[in-house]
Amino acid sequence: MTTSPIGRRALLRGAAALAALPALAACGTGTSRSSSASGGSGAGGGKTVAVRNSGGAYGEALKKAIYDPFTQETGITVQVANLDGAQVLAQIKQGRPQVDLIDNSMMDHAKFVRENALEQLDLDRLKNVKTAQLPENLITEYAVAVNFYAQCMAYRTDAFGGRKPESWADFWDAKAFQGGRSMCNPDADLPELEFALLADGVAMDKLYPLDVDRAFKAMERIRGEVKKFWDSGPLPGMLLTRQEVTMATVWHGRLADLFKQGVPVAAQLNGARRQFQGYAIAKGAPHLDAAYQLFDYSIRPEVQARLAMTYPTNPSSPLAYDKISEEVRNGLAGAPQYYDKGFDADTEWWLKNEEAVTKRWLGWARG
Amino acid sequence: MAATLAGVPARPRRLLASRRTRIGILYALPAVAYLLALFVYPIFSTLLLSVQDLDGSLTLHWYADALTGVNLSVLFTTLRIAAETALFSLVIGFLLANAISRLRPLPAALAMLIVVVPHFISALVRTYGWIIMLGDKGLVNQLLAGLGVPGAPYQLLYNEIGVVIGTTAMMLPYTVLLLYGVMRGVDRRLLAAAASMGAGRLVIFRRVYLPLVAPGLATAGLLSFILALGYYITPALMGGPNQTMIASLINQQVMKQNQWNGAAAEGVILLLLTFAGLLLVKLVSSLGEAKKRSAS
Amino acid sequence: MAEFGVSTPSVGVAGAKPAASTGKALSVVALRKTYGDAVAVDEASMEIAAGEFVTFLGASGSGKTTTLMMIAGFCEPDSGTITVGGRDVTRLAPQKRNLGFVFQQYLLFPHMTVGENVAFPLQLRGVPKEEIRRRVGQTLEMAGLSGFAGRRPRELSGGQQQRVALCRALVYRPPVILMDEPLGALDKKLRDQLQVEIKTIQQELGLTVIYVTHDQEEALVLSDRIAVMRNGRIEQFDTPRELFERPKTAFVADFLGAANFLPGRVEQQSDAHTLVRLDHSGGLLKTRRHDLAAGVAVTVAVQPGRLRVCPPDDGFCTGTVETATYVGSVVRAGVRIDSRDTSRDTSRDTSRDTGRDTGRDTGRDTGRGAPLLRLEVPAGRGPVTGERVGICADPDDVNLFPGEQGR
Ligand SMILES: Nc1ncnc2c1ncn2[C@@H]1O[C@H](COP(=O)(O)OP(=O)(O)OP(=O)(O)O)[C@@H](O)[C@H]1O
Ligand SMILES: [Mg+2]
Repeated sequence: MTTSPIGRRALLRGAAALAALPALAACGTGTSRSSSASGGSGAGGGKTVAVRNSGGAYGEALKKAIYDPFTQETGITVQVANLDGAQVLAQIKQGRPQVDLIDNSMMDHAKFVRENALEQLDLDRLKNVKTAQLPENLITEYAVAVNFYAQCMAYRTDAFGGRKPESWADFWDAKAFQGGRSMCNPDADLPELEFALLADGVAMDKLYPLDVDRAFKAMERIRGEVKKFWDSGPLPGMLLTRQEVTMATVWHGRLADLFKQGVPVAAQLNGARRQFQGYAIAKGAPHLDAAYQLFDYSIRPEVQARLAMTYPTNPSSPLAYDKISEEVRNGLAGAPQYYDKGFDADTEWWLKNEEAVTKRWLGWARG
Repeated sequence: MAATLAGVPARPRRLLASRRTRIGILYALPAVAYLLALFVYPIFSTLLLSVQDLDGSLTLHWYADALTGVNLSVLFTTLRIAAETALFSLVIGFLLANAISRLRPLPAALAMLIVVVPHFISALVRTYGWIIMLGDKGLVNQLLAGLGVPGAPYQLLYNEIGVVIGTTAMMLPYTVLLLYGVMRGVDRRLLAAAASMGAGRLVIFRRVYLPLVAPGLATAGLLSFILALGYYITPALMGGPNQTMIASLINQQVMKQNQWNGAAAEGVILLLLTFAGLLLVKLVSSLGEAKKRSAS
Repeated sequence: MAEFGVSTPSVGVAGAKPAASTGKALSVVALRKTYGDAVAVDEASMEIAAGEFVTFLGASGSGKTTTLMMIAGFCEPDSGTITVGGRDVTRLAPQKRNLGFVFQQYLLFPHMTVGENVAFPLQLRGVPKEEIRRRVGQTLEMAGLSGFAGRRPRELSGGQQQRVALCRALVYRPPVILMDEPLGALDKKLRDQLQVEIKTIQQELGLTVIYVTHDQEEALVLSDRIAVMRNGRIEQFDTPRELFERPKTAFVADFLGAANFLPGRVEQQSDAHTLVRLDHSGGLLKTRRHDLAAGVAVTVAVQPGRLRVCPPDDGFCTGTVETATYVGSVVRAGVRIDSRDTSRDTSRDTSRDTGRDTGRDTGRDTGRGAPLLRLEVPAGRGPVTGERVGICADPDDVNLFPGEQGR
């Protein structure tokens, strides 16, 4: 980009000033900047690494399952910052990143690559990539995927007289499976064109490149049933709980809470879409060494397994699943018995098309 | 003073020379510096960004983008929802403030707290709360259905009704606080005076009370309109795609697409709309004043 | 201050009773109002004739405003009744009482012009537009405000605003107009001027006015009758002259005239007179008859203007002129009374050593403890400083109150 960093910084402030006028009250999901140093036993004598993650329950789990044991093992203190992608990007552009390691979606990593904001990885320093037997497609020049989440359908088990929706075609069939639907809004995740195509009869391995026109045509058929396009992870669960809808697309990990509460819902992982979360190192990271150490540590199958035991996330290493208790494993979309039912979102395709599809989606959804 | 003799042309200089003016400027300096640093400069840079193409050349196509297609309809939606929010928060805020201003201090403080509380509840909890209240199986609909109201359950969420309920609730603290202040400022004895002359409640309200709080109403209405222009979280929570607000587009562009120029253009448009709102109120109030003048 | 608000008493039975009290513009019977433990108004009763100018006079907090507010309907009495023109209005909303009210703080509507302010009560009564214009013009003209109809209240001086407030209360000719210290916020000169205007208008239009003030001079200038209030009670309700000459209590005597007070005891009663032995001088003072037993401690009150200088042997006491100031046609003199030992009158020394003054009277008290009498005498025969004089008073001008001085 040609805009000078100064111009960029000024804009950030300008946007803030603009927002201050009309958006004063648009409070709510403001970014919280909590920086909590893991209480390490300090053998490393003040060595630290700063990592960005999205916080919340996931952030808690990371600290418990990864950062704290890591500190114990290496003596390196882990500092956490829950920054927005845009904030991290701005810091890197100014040459002063406050984080070394970035825990983010592979899509976002790819966007950072376009901005030349990531360190090219030295895979020799990530020994565990080999030992964890990560699939080839999860290792890129700039980022390595450590876990994934699945987007699938969830339904109320008490809504259809004992029948179970088996496929996206069933989700689309509002006659056989009555009741409101909820699908995701581009604010929350990529538009669910794949599901529409699957419902329309496209084979799972023939999805990409997506036939956008066909997908929107198929989406049109379900438009009237969609009561709410959800824009935050817990919302579909709430809508199912309150019986506002009978079926919704969900982030699979979010269902665990509902099961615990005894809400009569179930997941259908047929045709689930997987998106990967990984690590990358910020360009100009001040603690490069420590960053590599935590990075490598996180890839270890047993560490991935430990995270999965703490938080419903799916390890990227196939070896990790053996180390997870059966009960927990059966609740994971990545468990061997489910894995083949879903597909990986094509990051490359979406990178090229997300903006256009999102815009078209908005036009479509506004009818 | 020699300048006094020079007459009219010397006036500005005379003004500057006066001690009071000089001190006034001195006092104003920090505020001016503050405004320059925090508002004028950033707004100016935003303006600049909004007319810059990716390669740095001047262009208006971000504005063209913002004012066509979906973006334009989002703009209209934003205006419409902001206006509806202003209207409802004004009416409800008026009724609430009026009720609260008649309470004793303690109950008044309590009532105020209740009005303000939604502001401190996280978006997530609020989301759930609204579903429990307004959903198809929510309290309101259950009540209406229980009462046998025809047509129940009503769709009160994920459409414009939901959005306006939500934004109005978010706005109420502002309008209530503002109107409460204005109403407390009204000399109640004026109402007593009107009553002593034989005016009934309605007449007192219409001819004395309302005109006295009218400036507050204008301010509150304008404030809620301007604030609502920038809302997007609540509309996203409570509405559907048809209630997408312009701030939501700005957020998407910056956060998702790292596309600052388009966002800047939309920000500038939002700012201009805000000014237009201000101007409108000014115009209306001065028109009213002029009408009054000519009448008497 | 009383609770203002339009939401005061609920509209009660407003049945116009048969005019049992013809000619009476307003009557108040046993009106009582308490705020918690504090009694603001205590059993106030009075009858006011049409065309009368009545003033509530009293110290701050004596219940004047509260009484007025109850009459106007802005606060509800605990008990008692209020009748306006024979109609019981006790529980009636203020807007149904058809009274005029002029507030101390003017309370002009700031969003209306002067003309609109004055027109407001007429509009409420559905008076035709032309008629409104005429009456507003007329009233403003009477108040000397002809050129001001188009102005906003804030563009007027205090005196002008007060006159507008007056106009607004007068313009619809309410049978009774209540005024709560309407001139309280104005300077002396303006007050004097407006007093005259108010009085003139009242007399010309034959208005019934109830007026509140704590300025006794104002009360005397304006009033047909004055109700002196104290601690929520009406101490005395009479013409200025009666109050002045026949105060019923020491408080009234003091409040109105700054009377001279002297302690004493009843010496002897006759058919027409009561004789009082004064404590300090030991002299005997003759007053008109009061029903008091001999030996009772009393306070004597005489207005300065009713004392005369006479030869030392003729007076009820003697003294030395300490000050003498010429004020136009009269001389204001201060006379220090001779105490008993100096006047060598020892006729009562056995009977009066029970009182609190025992210690003071035993001769050590020379001069400074003795009271100073204030006199106002015609300038012609004015006393001079240092002169020894006797003091006399007409028995009819001397008021007597049981007990020690109620100051
Ligand atoms: N709203 C109220 N609440 C409690 N006490 C009150 C209230 N209004 C008046 N009082 C009390 O009642 C008494 C009489 O008050 P009121 O206002 O009638 O006095 P006032 O004679 O008009 O005095 P001023 O000359 O100062 O106006 C006072 O002791 C006052 O404190
Ligand atoms: Mg008073």
